[in-house]
Amino acid sequence: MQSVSKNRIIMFLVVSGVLIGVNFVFADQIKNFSYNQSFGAQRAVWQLAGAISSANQDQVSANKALVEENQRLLSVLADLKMIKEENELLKNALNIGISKNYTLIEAEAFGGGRFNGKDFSFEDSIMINKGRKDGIQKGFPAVVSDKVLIGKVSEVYDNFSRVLLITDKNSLIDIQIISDMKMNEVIDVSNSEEKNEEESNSVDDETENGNTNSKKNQSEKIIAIAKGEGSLKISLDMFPKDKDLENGAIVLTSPLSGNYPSGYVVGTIKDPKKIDTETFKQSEIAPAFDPKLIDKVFILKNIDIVKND
Amino acid sequence: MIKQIIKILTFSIFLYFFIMLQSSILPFSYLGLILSIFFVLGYSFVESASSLSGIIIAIWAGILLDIYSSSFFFGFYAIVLMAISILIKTIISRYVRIP
Repeated sequence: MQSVSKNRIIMFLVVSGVLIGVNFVFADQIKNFSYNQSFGAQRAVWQLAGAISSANQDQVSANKALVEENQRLLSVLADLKMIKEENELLKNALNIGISKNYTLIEAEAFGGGRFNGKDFSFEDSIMINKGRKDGIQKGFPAVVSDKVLIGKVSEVYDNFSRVLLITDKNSLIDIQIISDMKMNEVIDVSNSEEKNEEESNSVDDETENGNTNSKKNQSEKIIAIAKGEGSLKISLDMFPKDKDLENGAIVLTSPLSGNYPSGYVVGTIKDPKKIDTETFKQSEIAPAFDPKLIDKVFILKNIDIVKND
Repeated sequence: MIKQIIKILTFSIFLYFFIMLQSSILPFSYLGLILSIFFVLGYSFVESASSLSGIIIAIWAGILLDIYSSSFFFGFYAIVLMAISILIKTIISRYVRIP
């Protein structure tokens, strides 16, 4: 009996020694090899889970609403493109360079979060099928279509990378909240402008147009912090108590942020609360993406973030 | 011997499936861990105290968890699960008498 115990202790020590040795030499290669082998199966399960999730009744109605909103936003986008062109023309004329020194790497998401043994918590992250060989480095921001920020690269292997989502507990982002620029208002403003253009150029219309323009000009950017709470939630922090915080206000990345490019959508304000005993206003931020439905991800390579206030 | 190998392979496939689910479906990220520990502990209790297959399954489950989860270092779960499995077997062989 004693010899059996002795053998097991020797076995334990040998296996532990081998595993700790592997940890310093082959850990990344083993992980990369395993992800490579399981990529197909994991992607299939990931897509199946997304499909099941979409089949949920609430999701269907939410998707419908999103499609409608998307269609309305397209018209707004068209207007904004014109403004952007005009803006760039003016910037060139004034010789103000804004370097967009990055390229996009398209990747496919195939895995979800994982258990973190360090603090016994769930980590909000996804796996993508591009890695070191494709030029990805730790810290590169990850976005989905339409400039929606989802997180940044936290681990890189040869052919795969892990993207830590902005909802993770370790995520902290400098943000700007455009208080008067609620999505519906933007749409309303653009729609009213379109109508005004179609209608006759009466004096009344001009004054109304002037009002909408002044409304646009009133939009105020307030700097705060978006803090990941885990379990796919984000909370607002450091938002001044004396400033107005509207439900549905758009949250963008701030130019003050050193880690993310400015102007990327983080989410929208949800249920703002003003608690007298707290120094700052509190609110939840609804992420602009659904992690379960992420399919294509874009990694911003060689990003050069310009701090332009 | 062949029976033991078949057992180990079957359990290994089950564990692989659980941990695959853990890393593929977002809201169920504890699933793989809980089921793996349950399987490893359960198997170590049930099988004969002199058998090694429970310890091999524990090492395999630990390595899978190390690959698809985050911890202090690679091999952490494997060492912990192996230690637990050995401990269970030692306790059973020394203090438990099956009539």
